[in-house]
Amino acid sequence: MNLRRERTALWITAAIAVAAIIFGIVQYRQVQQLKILGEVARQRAFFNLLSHVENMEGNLAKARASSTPAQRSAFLTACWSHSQGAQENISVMGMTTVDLSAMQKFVAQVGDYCMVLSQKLARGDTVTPSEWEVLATCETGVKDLVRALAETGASAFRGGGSQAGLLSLRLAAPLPSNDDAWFRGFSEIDSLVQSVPSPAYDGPFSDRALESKPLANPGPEISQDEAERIAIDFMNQGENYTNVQVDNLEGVVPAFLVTGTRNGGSEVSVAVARAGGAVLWAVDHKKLSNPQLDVDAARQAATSFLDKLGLDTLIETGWRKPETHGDRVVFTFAGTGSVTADSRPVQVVLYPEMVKVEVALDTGDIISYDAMAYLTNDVSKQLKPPLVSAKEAGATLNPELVREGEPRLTVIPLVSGRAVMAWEFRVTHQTDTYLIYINAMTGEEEMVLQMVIDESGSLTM
Amino acid sequence: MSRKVLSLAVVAALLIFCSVFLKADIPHCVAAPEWALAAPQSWLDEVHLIARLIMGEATGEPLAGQVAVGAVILNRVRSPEFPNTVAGAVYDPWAFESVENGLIWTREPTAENIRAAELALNGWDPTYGALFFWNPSKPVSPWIWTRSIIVQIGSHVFGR
Repeated sequence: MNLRRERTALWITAAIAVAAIIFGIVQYRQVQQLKILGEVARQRAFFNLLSHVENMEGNLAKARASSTPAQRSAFLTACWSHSQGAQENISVMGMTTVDLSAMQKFVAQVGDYCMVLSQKLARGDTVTPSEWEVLATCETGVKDLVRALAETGASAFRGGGSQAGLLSLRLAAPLPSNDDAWFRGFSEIDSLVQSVPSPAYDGPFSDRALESKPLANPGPEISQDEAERIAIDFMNQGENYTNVQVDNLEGVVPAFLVTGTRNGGSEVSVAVARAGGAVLWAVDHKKLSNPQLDVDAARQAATSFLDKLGLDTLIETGWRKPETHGDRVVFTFAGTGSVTADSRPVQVVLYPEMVKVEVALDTGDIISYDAMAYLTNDVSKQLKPPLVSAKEAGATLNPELVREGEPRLTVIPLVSGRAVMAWEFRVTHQTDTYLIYINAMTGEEEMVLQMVIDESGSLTM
Repeated sequence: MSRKVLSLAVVAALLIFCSVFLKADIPHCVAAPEWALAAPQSWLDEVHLIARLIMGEATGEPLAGQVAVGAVILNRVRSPEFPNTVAGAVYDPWAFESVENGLIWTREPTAENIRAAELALNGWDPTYGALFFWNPSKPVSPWIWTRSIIVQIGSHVFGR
């Protein structure tokens, strides 16, 4: 009897041991497979990156060697396209021990610069000798990057290493690589690309665009108590606020952040500029009931609100109900100015001076306000009469476009952070609507925006 | 004979248990809902992706703090040092803890998270262009303190 029990116990123990071993092996294999997948993804990203950077180098060289603007433009555009691919692969390398952001920035700026020059050539402009010199510097930087990447790869794949070196059980990594070599190589690349001077140009990733700071709205310093009073007056309705707290917001426009709880229980936050006491933004956290108002009634509420703030010269430039909420609507307003064109005063829409007002459709209350752009982009002082008339600008439009309404004079912000004066034409092509902006000083097309118009309002892209 | 059969049954049961246990335990990517499989090119998809990140990173924060997290994502898209799409910035390896541990897919974003994402996409940036945020009361990489702090909203500080 005892023998039988012992045998049974032995069987069960053996079974548990076998199951535990199988469990361990299966789990180990799966973890290793995941490691291999991660390593393979990194290696693929590395080789793609190398290929894209090599192609950047090739296209830069061809652009400099080419004799015709059209060919040069094509090579520069191809370089930009490969820089996009390189950036994508840098972002999925998954390096935990080394920072790749300098390489990412270098590749983005070279591609961006190529696109700026390509557009210049496509417009029929000449690329200046100094711009070709900058391009040559970029090319040298890219060449050095190719060499450094190739060396890093050769060193990382030589002799395997810690990344996948423990793999066994027929699961050895296809290309075992060495973590230390990756680290050393990319650290050197980081120093290398930081030593290449950034090109000076007007593109979205230029240092000028990155470093551009909004203009502070000057004024006398206000105290915390004043900020609290301004914030409560702003959200008004003569309510008593509880749990009022004032914190400091440091940054480009130092402000006081006033938070409080309304009678109804919703939390309200208002940022008040320390210099001058202007309200930068405000948001009411209230829960909304079923919509009772239409867009026109909400527009009336937003306009009245702005009038009370003394912002009665703003004009509405668009509205949109958020896709996921039909219970509110956001109106966008822009500042206005005036210049003389064709011997008569013409209104200018100042898009950089933007204010957004969100209205609840249950009560018409203002639930958010954002005047940061309005208060920090004073472009009205820089207005000059246009050198290109609306008629001349209109003559440059694609003849296939159908114009809607009269053109209007605007100031538009460019991705580089600059603002330019432009004639705005609303046009349609087949079933789509566009806004075309023609520079009012040079007559060049500056921007094309496609409008998405539906029952929720409009979007531009 | 019956004992042998019993033992074999025990072994089989253990194996089945192990396989089920294994299935639950091995780290794997949580399946994304159907809408997430489409290319996130529309505004609506970007709203949801940003809202999920806000849910994972800033639940419990004031609304302005949630908008600020969304604004950091959009500032990264505009920066040459980070991927230039919303999805690229959200899924940038090791960038966000809630993406690494799958938290962003464990529950649906709230209406507040979605509103915060919409406000950020509408252009509201309470961080003045911040590229990083962290909770100073939690253990973080010492490197993050080399960033210049722009603003503190709720329990997060935002820096560049």
